[in-house]
Amino acid sequence: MKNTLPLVLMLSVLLGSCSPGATGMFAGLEVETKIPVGTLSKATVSSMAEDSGHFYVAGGLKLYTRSLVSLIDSATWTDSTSTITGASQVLAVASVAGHVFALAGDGTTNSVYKLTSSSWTSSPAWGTALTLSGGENPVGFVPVIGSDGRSISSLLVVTESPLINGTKGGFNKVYLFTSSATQDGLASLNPSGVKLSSPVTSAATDGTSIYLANASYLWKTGANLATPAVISYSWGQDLSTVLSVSGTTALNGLYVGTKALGTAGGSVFLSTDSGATWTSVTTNTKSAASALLCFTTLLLPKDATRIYAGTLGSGYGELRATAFVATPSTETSNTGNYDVSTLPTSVVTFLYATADGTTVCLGTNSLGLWTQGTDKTWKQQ
Amino acid sequence: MKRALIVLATLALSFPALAAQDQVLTFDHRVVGDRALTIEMGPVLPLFTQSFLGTLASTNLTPGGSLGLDVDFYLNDLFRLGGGIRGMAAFGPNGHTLFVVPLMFRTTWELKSFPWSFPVGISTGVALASYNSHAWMDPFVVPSAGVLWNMSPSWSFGLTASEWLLADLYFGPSPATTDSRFVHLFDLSLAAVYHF
Repeated sequence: MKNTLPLVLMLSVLLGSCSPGATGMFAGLEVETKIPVGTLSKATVSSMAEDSGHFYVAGGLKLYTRSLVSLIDSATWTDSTSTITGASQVLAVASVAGHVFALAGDGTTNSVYKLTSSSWTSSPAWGTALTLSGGENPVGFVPVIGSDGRSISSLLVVTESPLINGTKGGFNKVYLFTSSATQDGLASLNPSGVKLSSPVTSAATDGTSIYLANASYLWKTGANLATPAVISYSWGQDLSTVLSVSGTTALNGLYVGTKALGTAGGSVFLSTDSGATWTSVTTNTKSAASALLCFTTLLLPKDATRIYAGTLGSGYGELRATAFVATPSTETSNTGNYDVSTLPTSVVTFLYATADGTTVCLGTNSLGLWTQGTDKTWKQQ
Repeated sequence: MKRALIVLATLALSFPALAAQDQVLTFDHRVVGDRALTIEMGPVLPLFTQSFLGTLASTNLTPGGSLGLDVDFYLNDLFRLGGGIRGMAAFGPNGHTLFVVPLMFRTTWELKSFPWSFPVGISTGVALASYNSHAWMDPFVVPSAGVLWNMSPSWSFGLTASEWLLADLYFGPSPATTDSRFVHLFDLSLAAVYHF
């Protein structure tokens, strides 16, 4: 008895320290497939555009392009950096062909470019730099996600104020590039009483209003950023993302995701009355590995069964009905490769659904571009 | 006559004993209390997995390798009991390493034809399995058979083949019960046995 006690104790400690994961070890191995190492496997990917059946990806001051056969096939991406220097972002307005915009520059002085190619080539042609009406320096793009929860209905250009007495004025105007005009309509966001010292980080529209996430504020504006007003609610943490979903899905509503703060993980709130009242979907959210989740982006894929919620350093989670499910879950593990990829520890910079609805794309910080096809298996581009 | 029958019966009964005295005791003869330390090393071939419903599937593992250390105690010339620890490693499709470390209790019978021994045994215990930052404990059974050449009273060398049958069991809800698998691995090891 005296001799077996240490053995029993040792086995108990071993068993107690065992963590089986979301799926059976060998059952998971059965469905694991080799993740190919693609052109973008180690790239920082900040944004993505699709136009006339072709893809553009920007990040790490490079611009990559490829023709669309199928995003999850083995075709490679072409480095098109030489066409514009220092491309940091590229976005396209979904409803109008050719409305592909790129932000490029050295970080201090940037410019917005519009694609001029009528047909795709591996070296797309960009027009001359667009001049913003106020002369501000553009510092970032923010897609305005449409009411389907995934398409990009218009584009916000976030700017930096001109120098005032040699000092930067901080982030100020945002310009709305809609799909309605060749040069696109411009509007500005100048809310009275509140200075926008932080950039707009996320935007969504329900078809009538545009919602902007900006630090701890959620703004509701008219279709052209007219009459902006702050939606009053105590989020607890700064907002990082906003998404509006309408249609026939059970996930209809206006969502906001927040950052983590201190020892509290991020939260997701839902409003089904255009921001008048809010309910909490998840608060103090943690990953399957118990890391505090800081939400970065939300997306409703075409199958509309769940909302994907990208995070800062913990991959993505899913909002199903009104519950949040951290990945890897039983389902994501069994559908292949998520758990064995680098995704569970990645910074998700954006989520994007292809126009045909067959593929969800996930951009990461230095861990490349990932795609999930209809078989739900994650692959790396 | 009666006396002659008694002599013949006595001779007949004593013949096996006389014959036994003629038997040469070879140096692979073991007695109770003898011990054997076995070191084994060799390749492991992952065979297949099997669900509760009997569905077979590939393990999706590369061939791997194993290393083992066992200590056995002879109860008589042909039978020994013991225990040991093994370590086995193989790789998944994306380069993650599967480690299986069985802690085993084992029984072994040795069929002998000097200088050869043919150990046949069965082991059981629990195995600590680890893959991609996840770990679990699986019960297992390992039948084995081998051939050893007794080079000296102290050393034997040979080959052991064994079939590892791991029961990777889950009881839900996460992982689901349907994720339970029986795992079949084939281990072919070179063995060196030190008798002491």
